[in-house]
Amino acid sequence: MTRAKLLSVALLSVLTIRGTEIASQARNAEVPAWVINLTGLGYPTHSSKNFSKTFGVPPTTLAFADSEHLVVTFISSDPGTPSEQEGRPDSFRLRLHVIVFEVRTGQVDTQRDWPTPNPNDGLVAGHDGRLVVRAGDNLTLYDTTLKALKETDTAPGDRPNERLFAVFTSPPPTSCCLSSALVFTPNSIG
Amino acid sequence: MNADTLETVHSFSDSLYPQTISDTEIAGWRIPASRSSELVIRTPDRPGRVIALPNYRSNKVAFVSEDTIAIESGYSPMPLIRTDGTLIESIAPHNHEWFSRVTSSAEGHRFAFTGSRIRNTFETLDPHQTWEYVQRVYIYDMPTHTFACEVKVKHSARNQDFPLALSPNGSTLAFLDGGSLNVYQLPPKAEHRQ
Repeated sequence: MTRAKLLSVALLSVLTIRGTEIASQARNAEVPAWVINLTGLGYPTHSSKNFSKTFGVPPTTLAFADSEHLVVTFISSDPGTPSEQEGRPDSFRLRLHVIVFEVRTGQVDTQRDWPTPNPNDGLVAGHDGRLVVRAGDNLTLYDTTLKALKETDTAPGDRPNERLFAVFTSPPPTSCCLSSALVFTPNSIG
Repeated sequence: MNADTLETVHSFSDSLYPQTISDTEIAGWRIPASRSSELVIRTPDRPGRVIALPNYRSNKVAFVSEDTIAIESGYSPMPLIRTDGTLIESIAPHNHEWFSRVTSSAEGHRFAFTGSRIRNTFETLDPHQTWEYVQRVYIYDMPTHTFACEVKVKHSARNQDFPLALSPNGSTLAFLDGGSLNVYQLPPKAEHRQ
């Protein structure tokens, strides 16, 4: 009888401890595992007035390359050129930043930045430890050390006015849909 | 295009505004000259089928798994449909918020979306100007048809980009709030199974 009582107390204790674990794990969803301020890594929290007026909110993209690596890309603008003040998109010196974080610790694994032609450039997909990054009409496949594995130019050579418009990826990001559009400038029409 | 090899698999021309793809199909809105917009789902080599969605006009749609599409519908419950247009279920968190930014996990079991407060303080002067403040991120678990959890956004700035991502198995959520990158560990699947 005493043994049965002891057993039930032990069982109750196990259930209580397990119940506490579940409750605290549920609460943990309200507490971030980690938070990092990206401003120290080049993120433009306050874009210049000219940048905002010309491009709107600078695009930022997040994707998990795999369960261990989180990738963030964003665009910044290098200190201006004189014609930037006129709000001409091609006068900005845009810079694409790619940062790979360790998911468990929040430490920066790899970080690179380079000039880029388009304000919408950045991460397109992350999958199986690889990431696809768009720069203008080019797509480049990188590993999580940001070593370029392959690059492709999506602009059709026989249609000079056609430009890459948007890129969509499937839920398992193994496929990309590239949407292109005809771009007309006053010179190309005239 | 195959994302692993960057090789083009198919190409076609269409007046479709693509919005989302699965491994086999593309969904988007087509705007015929004489009628209102229609949701079309097609494969690269077939012209596609129109999905009857009388209550939706050009709403944002997103594949959340290979055969399930979520339709962003503002304050209304969010319909999840099969690719033949059949309604699977409509999901609605308990808060009255504007639901958007549907983002799926790679394995297709969970997806996340934001709930926002929309304001227009100067409606009379500027009726098209709205202010959005993201309030929460919701994570929905499709196999169990339950919300895995919700994460309250602490410092939501007005009209910010607010990108978010789920890890491949949906166990980790990341979002950018202002200049702060936030990462949350989410409850594993078995814990919220009823």
